[in-house]
Amino acid sequence: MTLVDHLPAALIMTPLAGAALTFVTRRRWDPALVMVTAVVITGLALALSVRVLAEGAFRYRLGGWGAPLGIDLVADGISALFVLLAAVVGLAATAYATSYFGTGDEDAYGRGLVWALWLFLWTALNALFLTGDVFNVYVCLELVGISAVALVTLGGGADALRAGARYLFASMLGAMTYLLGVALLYSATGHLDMATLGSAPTQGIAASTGLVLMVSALVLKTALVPVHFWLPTAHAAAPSPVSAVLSALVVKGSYYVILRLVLDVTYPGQLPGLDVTLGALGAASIVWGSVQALLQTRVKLLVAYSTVAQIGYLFVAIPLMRADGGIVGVAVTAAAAHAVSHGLAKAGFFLSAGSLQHRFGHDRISEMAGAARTTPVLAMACAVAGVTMMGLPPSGGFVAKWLLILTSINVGQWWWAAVMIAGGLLSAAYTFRLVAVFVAEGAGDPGDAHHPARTEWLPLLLASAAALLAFAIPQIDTLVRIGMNLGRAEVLP
Amino acid sequence: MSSHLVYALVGGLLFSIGTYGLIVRPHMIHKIISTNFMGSGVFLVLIGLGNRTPSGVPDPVPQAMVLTGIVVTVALTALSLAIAKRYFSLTGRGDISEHREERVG
Amino acid sequence: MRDRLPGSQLIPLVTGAGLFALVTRAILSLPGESAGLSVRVTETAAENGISNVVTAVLLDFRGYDTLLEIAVLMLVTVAVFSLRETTMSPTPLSERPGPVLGALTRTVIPVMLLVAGHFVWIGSSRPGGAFQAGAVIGAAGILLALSGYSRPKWVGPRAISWVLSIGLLVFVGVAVYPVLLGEELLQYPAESRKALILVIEALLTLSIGASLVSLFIASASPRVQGDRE
Repeated sequence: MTLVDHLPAALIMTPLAGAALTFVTRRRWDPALVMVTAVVITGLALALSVRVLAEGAFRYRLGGWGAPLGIDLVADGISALFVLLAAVVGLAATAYATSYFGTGDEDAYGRGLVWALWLFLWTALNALFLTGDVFNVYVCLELVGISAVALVTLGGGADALRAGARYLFASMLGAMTYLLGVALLYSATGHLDMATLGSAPTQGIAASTGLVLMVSALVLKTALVPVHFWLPTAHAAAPSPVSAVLSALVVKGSYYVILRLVLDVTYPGQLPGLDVTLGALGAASIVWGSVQALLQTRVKLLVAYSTVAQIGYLFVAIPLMRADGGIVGVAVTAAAAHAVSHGLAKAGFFLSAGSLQHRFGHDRISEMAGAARTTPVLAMACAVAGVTMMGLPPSGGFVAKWLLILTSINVGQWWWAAVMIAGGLLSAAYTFRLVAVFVAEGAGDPGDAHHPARTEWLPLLLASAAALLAFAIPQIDTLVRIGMNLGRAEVLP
Repeated sequence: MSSHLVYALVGGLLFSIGTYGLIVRPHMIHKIISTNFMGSGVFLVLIGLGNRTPSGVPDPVPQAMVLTGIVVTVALTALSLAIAKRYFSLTGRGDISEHREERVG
Repeated sequence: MRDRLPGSQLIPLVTGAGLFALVTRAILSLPGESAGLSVRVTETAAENGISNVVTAVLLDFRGYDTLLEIAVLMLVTVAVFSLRETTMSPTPLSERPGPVLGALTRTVIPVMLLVAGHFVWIGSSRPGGAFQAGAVIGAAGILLALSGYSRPKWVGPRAISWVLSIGLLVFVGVAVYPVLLGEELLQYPAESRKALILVIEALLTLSIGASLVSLFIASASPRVQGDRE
């Protein structure tokens, strides 16, 4: 076996080893070490995508055993795409974080422990995106949840602690429910491997109950309305690079598992009403999240509610994926493209919100007038990120939403399209509201302290990447279809 | 054959009680105890249902799942207790109900 | 602290009751006999010389789960450390123990350590293993802390960090070693399987025990000025 064959394992072991080493050594060169690790992981992620594009999907049998006895890692198009998203956002957020966490007193950020937590989170995300075993998913979800909570509470104040505590309890509720679902599923089928579960019949009351519990738990963890209550405060109270990773990547983790369950483990019609329920809740999230975002007076809360809204699109895609009894490839591509473009845009948005907060000393929108004059790069980043999230052409977000709208009309479920268009209008409203304040006459920020250039350019880079993603949609489509069992093939218009 | 069923059903009961407690009780210590109820409930379900093997020797896979689950639950309990303790030392309060903070949608 | 109004307890009550009904229905619907993966596990484990099938599943077939689980434990230790208000000082939690408590600890602690070692050694054939042994060591450490013994001065924070991480680091090392031989991750070579598993378990025991003690002490120490508000 060559090194390339071991990519899935390397993607998980590298950040894990890095986390353990960072904890043990805890020296001045920690940020540099983490940066190097980030670059290495990004390279590995790129290599994995290239390998999957060239040679197709493959399974990595841990311990040499192979399912159903052992645990397999699965590297197909969707997992490679999500790992790549995590790598790009992670790399940018790490570069930003080395400036954010490095300033001021080390004591304020967990005495240098932040980097260990940071790398643990990355390990957890990669492990989650690559695993093929439903119980292993539970362990990965816990790993993700704990590192996310720990990073949220790093701020140290009572607000961060309270937000972190509510996040933790919601996370635990989800994890226990998920585990109960796995218990029922295994007791009914005798299998834990996703592919085996997909090909063996998973019928029966116990199996269906188990699956419903699992999906419900994942819905809680992805903050779908009405169980979204923990997300806005958690994402807003966290340090900005953490918020970026939370909104861009962590919520996508539990969504990824839902995708796996929907596409690989269950068959259409197995759980009647599930698809429609998820779609309806997604629609509610789009509307409720956008309306709440419009009402916020603080930037970070606005961005956090925007996440709730944009997640809704991902769930509206689910009934579209399994319309007509097969798997509609375009809908999956659209959902994946939306996840990626939102990830990039939201990361950029949160990083620029963080930089603005640093410069102004607060994050009250009404008092940020004139920011476009004093910090044009940051204002531009917010605007570009907003463009992709509201779905203006030409941007990655536009293509994704356009594909979803087209699909919903094609399969005859046009009502989703109506909601998505309404959502787009609402997103436009809150984005314009923000940009209008920036552009207005005002003093701008005090502009006293020195801020590293990368805190300005990184957000813009991310937001632009989200916009330029539009040109990469065909490649994304090709990648996503690798390893998918398509009942009905669709060609991109 | 029904002795394992009793374990599993009691496990389901504990899980439900824990869920109720976790949602309703505002004090963090109550919530932590509730999560332990939930965890114990799931473990009982796993062990109870794993005892249905025809050979009489219990299925080792659920046992391994429970062992892993116990370690994860202990770790989570430790973290939540640490957060609760820190929060209490900062604010003097132990409940994180919604009435106390900004009304967020 | 008043309880919530009756109305707002209705939804959780319905949720709890509904869950119970759903789960009971699911459980009762299952067949009375089902082998699951146990047959395959037992057969394969017997070929490998590990007669405790649970250990075989934990460390061999599903060793990756165990690896991630150790990562969880270490992660929580790091997280709890980051929540501490001050660095861990070797001040004891209580006064030096009196004659009775001192005699008790002097007798019980060595026995506990012996029991832990026994669990690790016997884990491949009888019930036992790293987690059980680690729990016993953790209990021993907490007993020492509660009895008023403090960390010796020569055990510094760096040493503690090493002890906490050694289990995970060695596990990762043993996991990666087969890759250098051209096999998959965690694919122990057949001849050294038992020995490798024993090494992993021994060091895991150390780390697990140290983590449990650290989690206790990190949360239990008296508060020095901590307000960061």
